[in-house]
Amino acid sequence: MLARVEGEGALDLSIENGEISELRLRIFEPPRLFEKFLEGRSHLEVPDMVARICGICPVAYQMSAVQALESILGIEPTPWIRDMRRLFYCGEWIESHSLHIHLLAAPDFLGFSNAIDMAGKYPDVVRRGLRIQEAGNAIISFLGGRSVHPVGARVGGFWHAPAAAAAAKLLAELQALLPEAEALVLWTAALPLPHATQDFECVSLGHAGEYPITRGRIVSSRGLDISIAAFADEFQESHAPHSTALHCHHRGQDYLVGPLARLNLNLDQLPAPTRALLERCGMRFPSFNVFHSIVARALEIHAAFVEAIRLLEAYAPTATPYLEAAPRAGVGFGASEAPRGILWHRYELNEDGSIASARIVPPTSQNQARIEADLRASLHRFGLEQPEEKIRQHAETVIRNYDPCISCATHFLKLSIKHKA
Amino acid sequence: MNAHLHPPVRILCIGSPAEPDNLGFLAAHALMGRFDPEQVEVLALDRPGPRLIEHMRGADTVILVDAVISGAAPGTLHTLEGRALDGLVMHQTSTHGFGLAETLALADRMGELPPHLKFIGLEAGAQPFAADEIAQLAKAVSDTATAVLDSAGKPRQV
Repeated sequence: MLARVEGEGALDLSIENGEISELRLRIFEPPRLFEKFLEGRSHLEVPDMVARICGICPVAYQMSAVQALESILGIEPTPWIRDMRRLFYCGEWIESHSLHIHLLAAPDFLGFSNAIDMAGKYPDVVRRGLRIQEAGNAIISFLGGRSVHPVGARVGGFWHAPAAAAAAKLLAELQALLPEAEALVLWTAALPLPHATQDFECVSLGHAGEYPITRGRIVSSRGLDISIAAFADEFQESHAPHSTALHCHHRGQDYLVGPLARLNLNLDQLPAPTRALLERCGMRFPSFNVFHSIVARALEIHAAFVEAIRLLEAYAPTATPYLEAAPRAGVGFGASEAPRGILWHRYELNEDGSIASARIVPPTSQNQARIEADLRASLHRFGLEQPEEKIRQHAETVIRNYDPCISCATHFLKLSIKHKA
Repeated sequence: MNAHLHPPVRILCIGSPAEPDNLGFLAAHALMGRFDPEQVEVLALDRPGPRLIEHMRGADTVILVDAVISGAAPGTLHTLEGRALDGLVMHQTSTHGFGLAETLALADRMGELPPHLKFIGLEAGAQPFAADEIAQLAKAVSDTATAVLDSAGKPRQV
């Protein structure tokens, strides 16, 4: 993996005799080489280092890493640690999803060029979105000390257990905002989303008894059910000449990870209040219209609120917020559901606990081939004879809908169209 | 963030802990300890994006501190307020395309700007900021905050 999380993108499109002859989503952010940086460092440094990969989803990087490292060290997290990791992660889903819905995706569906213009007509909607995002940040700060690049997590658990009073205060804030999360679901379900069903494989984690966040097996809509250790046997990363991001395929085919894939595969694991809300909103899942991702994100925000409230209602500080174990050599795997989909890690440790090798497969790599396949189908349906500006807008909408970590760059996507007779 | 727990005057210094975009952090360290924390809050914010709105909420006066590039001589101080803040250019290179200018425009559209908003920028150059430039900036920020407190008839120094 070339761990780029924000970067510049461009779309090269060649149209020949009214057909797309070439379509390449180029990511040319320079490699960041985090995996090489990790080599030789102590395993205890990994959570703080990988948190720096992404300012939007640092928790995901930390949680996949500690899972892999603890599997080598033989650490079995206590129920308290498991619950707090789930709570920590709920905060990240809330802040990341809310940012994407309000500042990136919704303006596309409402005909605005950006969130600032949208805020002029829908100030209460954007204000609500920012409040929800702040709630997610507050959860991350509760356990992480700060919301960006949090420092509270460590191999074995958390550095300290927050006070009960802090948990009670956070709980009250989340309870007060839960109706707003509910209203957000209904608002997204009423958006004028394009009708664009496609055929693709959904891949996510799956874990009996819970909506997958921090753990699970890898499952798919086409019957895959494997342990996370088998990921590399099924999914292949490859270099594409036009991109510095690796492309990932499942046995040669593109596939979808992220909120829509998770929801499609884990409907029965949604918390009961979120399931009831889904019934009320009038949407039907599983859905293979990728534009329904915005509703899936809103539903996951609601589910994360419900989960966070449940975990905080039961919260009590512990005297052992982390476990320790002597270093030893070995290989371990970690996978969790980052806001954008499965984030897979593999580490090899030396006997002294230093990192011998690291491999990280982020969701954006996994979705890149799917985005290209979607663009090919969507632009064809949209009409290749349309003016370039309209094609650019539609292509941006398609790309942003996946919430790739190149979102910032794809706001000003460079579009190159070549027409050939 | 609970606004009632934070003072009405806030100095929000924007940047990164690491060079080259570390002006905000250098300025914040230069300012810390100069004010009664009950009256003036000094924060170093690492590329906050739209979270800046959260940090401004409930404040009467916010002084923003950041590095700028306008073509002026390195070390030049820029002070903007009111509609002059519209002159900040949206560059879309920050987290998910939301930098300071975009965030202020978003807050403005939603009516979330504080009643008094001042921006103090220091022109960046090719070299890291020198100690005297940081001191110059800190003095400008300190003078502005002091004037605000004086006009409100509030005690200011620690």
